[in-house]
Amino acid sequence: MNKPLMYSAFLGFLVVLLVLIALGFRFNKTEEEKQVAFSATNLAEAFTVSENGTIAYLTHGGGKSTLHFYNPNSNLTDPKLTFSSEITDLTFSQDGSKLAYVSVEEMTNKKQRSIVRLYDLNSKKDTQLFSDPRIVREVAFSPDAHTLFFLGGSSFTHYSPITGDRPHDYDLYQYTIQTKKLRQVTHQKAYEMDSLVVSGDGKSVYVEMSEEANTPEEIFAAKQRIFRLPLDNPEQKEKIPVPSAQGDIYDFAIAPSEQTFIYQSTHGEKNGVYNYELFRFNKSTGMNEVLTHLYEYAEHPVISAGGKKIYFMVDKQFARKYREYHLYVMHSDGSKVREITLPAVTYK
Amino acid sequence: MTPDFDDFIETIVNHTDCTEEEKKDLFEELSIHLKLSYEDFIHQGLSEKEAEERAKRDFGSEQEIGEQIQQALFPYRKESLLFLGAVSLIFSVCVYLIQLFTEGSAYILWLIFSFLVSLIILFLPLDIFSKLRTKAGLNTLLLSELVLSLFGWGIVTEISQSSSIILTFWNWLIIILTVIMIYRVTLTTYHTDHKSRKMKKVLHSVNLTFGFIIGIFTLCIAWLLAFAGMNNASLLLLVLPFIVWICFYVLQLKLYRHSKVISTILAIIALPVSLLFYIIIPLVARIM
Repeated sequence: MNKPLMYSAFLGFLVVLLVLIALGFRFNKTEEEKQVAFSATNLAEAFTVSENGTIAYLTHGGGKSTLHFYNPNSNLTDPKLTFSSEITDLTFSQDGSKLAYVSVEEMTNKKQRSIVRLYDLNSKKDTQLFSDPRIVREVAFSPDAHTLFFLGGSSFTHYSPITGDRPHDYDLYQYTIQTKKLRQVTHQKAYEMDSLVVSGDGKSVYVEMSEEANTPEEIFAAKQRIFRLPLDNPEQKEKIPVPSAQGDIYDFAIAPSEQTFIYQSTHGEKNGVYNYELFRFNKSTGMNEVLTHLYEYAEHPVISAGGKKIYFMVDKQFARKYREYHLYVMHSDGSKVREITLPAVTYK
Repeated sequence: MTPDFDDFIETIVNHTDCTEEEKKDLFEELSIHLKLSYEDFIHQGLSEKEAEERAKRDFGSEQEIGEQIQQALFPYRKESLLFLGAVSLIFSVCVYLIQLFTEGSAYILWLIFSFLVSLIILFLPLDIFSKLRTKAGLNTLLLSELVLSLFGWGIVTEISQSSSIILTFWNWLIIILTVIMIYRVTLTTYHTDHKSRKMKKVLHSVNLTFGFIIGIFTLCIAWLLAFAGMNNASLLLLVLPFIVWICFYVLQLKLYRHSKVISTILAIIALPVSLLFYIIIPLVARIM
């Protein structure tokens, strides 16, 4: 091959490279765009349901999260609150007139802060309650809606040189809305704490955390369980006696009677991936049973309509790169499971 | 008058991938051969000018002879480089486009480096980058190709399509071929001193093998740590054993002329000393 021809061929390859780079800039997607492109729905994970059946849910798209309200039994207008930051948690007050939610903002120094806001569905007023450098999770109203409880992870560091940064040192906090006072209720620095539910009388809370363990053998055998913490003496925690053979509990909801617990745990596997189903445990009878048989990832149960209905989210792409959430509802006995078609959600 | 064959021989020698030292040896050998031929023609009664021209003409064209010597010294190097460059170039483009259109991720920086390195490897036997056709230049290119291919493997594992299986095989073909090429480039030498040649071959073989062992070990540990969620600066400490190995390698080559015994001892202890750093690293990371 003569030299001019070789140089021309070389330049031709460089032109191909430039075209490929241009294609890269044109078709590269952000993580949020990928989530939209590769998921069959634009529904986000967090949702909540009020006692009268109003569903508050989030959709994502265009780099923003949008909060929607939907009640199939009423002509509730959709206020559509739009946020540029991620909304991680939503909760209704007992009468359904107020919605508290947590947004996580990225700071300039690569740190995050949680902002807790309150939306009044009657006045349609949205106000910021407080911001906190802790990881705020699982906000829950007291029955009178004067106080907000939440779980706060106070450190976001790695415990050992071989792990990445994770939130740890969880404790229970309460925020009094009128006086704007923040108080730390527990001082446990728990490695993990999740799923906060306030009791009907407002005197105790239920959380999911690990069983107590001191020796390496005990730590290995310890399971995630539901605990009741009396607010006047939170150190006197009471473990809900779910059968010991049952696997870890990751998330739960409590029926108004406070005798029935709906919780998420693993149940068999499909293609080497665990199925996460919802279970029901009755504290007075000791009866423990599987409620859903979806063989997927059922999570975040929310009990509504006086304990008659259970709403929950299903991730149909669990253990894959991008999540795909679908909202489901069923009767409290596990019957009549159906997917809810939400008006602002696009289903591909 | 002494004939001037320098430019003629230099052109021939520059067509080979020999090191400077090897080129010097080859230069001398060709020079003697041409001078003997020149003297023959003088004895036959040709003038000095005519004898010089005849000696060159009988020897053949510089490019042709250069290529023949290259093929004799390093058989199939040209073909191997052309093959490696071509398969690597197509691989880079395929992986980049599949990632972009099925996963939405554009690995532009990787594409630029991988594409350019593959392109240079492809055009190297065609005499476009003749300055890079030294042992050091070739090994630098091949090591870059190896690192980029390993990175490419990481990109391939992110592809959830069935095509990732074919791409993985393709990727490993490139990696294996590159490793073979590194061994061949390093170990194939042109030396008149056969004993020295054998010793150096052993030295390079030992060092290269240790280098690959340390590399595989480092990659496995890095992968395990990344899997465990570690993504901080401590991961950079894993490069330390590599740096130690490089220092040992360079030291052996420097000392080789002066003391072959010390050089051999250094070659033997290079691996255990480098691996010792995997014990030291966790202690340093704990302090950090």
